[in-house]
Amino acid sequence: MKSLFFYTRLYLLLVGKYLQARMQYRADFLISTAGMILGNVAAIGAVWVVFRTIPNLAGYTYPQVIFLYAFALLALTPMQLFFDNLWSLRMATNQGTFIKYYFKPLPTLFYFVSETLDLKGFGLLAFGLGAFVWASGQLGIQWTPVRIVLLPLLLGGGSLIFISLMTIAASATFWVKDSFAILAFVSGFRDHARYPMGIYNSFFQFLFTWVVPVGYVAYYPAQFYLTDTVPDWTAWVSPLFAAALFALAVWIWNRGTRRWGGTGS
Amino acid sequence: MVIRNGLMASFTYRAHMVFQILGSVVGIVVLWFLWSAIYAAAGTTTVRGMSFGQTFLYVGLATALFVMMRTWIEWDMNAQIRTGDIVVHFFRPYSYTGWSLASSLGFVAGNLITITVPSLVTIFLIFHAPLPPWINVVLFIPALVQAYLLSFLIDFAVGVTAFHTESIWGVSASKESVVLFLSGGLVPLAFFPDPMRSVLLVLPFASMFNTPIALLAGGITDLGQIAGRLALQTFWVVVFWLAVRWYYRASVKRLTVAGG
Repeated sequence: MKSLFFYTRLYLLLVGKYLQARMQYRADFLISTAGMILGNVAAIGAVWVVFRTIPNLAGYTYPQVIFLYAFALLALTPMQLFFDNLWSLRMATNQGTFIKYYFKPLPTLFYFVSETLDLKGFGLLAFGLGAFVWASGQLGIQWTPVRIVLLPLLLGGGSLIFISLMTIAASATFWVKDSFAILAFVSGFRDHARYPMGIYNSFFQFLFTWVVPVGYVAYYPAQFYLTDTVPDWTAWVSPLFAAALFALAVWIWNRGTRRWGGTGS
Repeated sequence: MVIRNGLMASFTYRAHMVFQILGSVVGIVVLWFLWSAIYAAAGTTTVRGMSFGQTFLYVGLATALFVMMRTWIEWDMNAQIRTGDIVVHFFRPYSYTGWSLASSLGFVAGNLITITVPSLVTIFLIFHAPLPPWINVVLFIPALVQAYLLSFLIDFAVGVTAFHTESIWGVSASKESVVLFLSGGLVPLAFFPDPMRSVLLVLPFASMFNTPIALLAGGITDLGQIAGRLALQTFWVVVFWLAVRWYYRASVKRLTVAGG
């Protein structure tokens, strides 16, 4: 097992190469960032329009819903920033270029994702932070030391949950020809993670808690900030749950890479 | 021929189709929960003159139409412009716009079967959405055709930007968000605050989603009003067609293909 320092340095090196190549497309960066932010502006705009007609949604006020949205956005940003290459895995396996990842003494998942750093993610990060600060201010959240210390842990847990789900979805390409629809399917759950769980019936709550556990991306951990009472176990377990799910995702990925046999050429 | 090829391409992978259908069904169920909660919070049977059934039908149809009209034609164009393959079409006896329209129609047919129809069945059978009067159903067809033409023209214009910029992803994503929100694709236009709604109804975006959907969801029943909305659609189709043709011709002049 090589040290964390080794991997950090290597990551910076690989990503640095990628960024160097991207720098020739500066207009692309600006327009893509704008596109990413506009999508979220439209989604928040839709929430705003709906709240012109209702006082709350399943007991959640407008700033509380925005808080949930921002929490989800911040939790989903690392997927966009660091794991965006998962979307192109199906191209790499179908065209055979994936073979090169076997030839380095590195974990293939690490090597594969460190080839891109999706710059659009920084736009998301900025927008998410803005919405988070605004909603926290509106709600007058008391920033106790416990809440501050838990925040990176809970956001990290939420991130890792979604990253694991997407890694599993992308790994499907080792067994079936084209994993795009599976990725798009799992990616769609991102949007369902943003609403208060109270809107769903017990079946869907079960689904989002145990099967496709997107409830842990934002709704459960956000309870620490939205209620003043001590929340129940669902709010606490997200980091542990995330670690377990990530281990499972890595295991599936590794099984897949052993199974995949190149294109035969 | 070209339509058939597009259709076959969208059927290639069966697993692909299953997940696409599953994804749209889950999406619609989530929409149902969301809007049920909104109506429960409002505490009245109608919000802004729309019953829950009408609103749910509206947002369900909006999703169904959105996926139906999403044919990724701008990405095909992007690839052809990037590689230079587009020149092949210049030597053939048809217009590139017409060729694009035909291949996009093939995709629409594929989407219709895999996404739109299952969505509609879910909406009408499982959720018992109210059926509209037959005259609205008949007039829905020209409204849908015009909405699609408008959507195609905008996608084509996005494709043409590939002559000028590397970033078709950004342009395409921006277009999608702006169109969905301002057309009443995310929230029915009836929910928007008044001065905003009046402006949005005249803009071209409303012609893409709000007009055909309102016909089926019972938002508009007066024949004169329907005729007005259809005429407005036609107006925007003509305006966009002229604008896009000009934009395309101006852009093609910039093209130089390596090894030509």
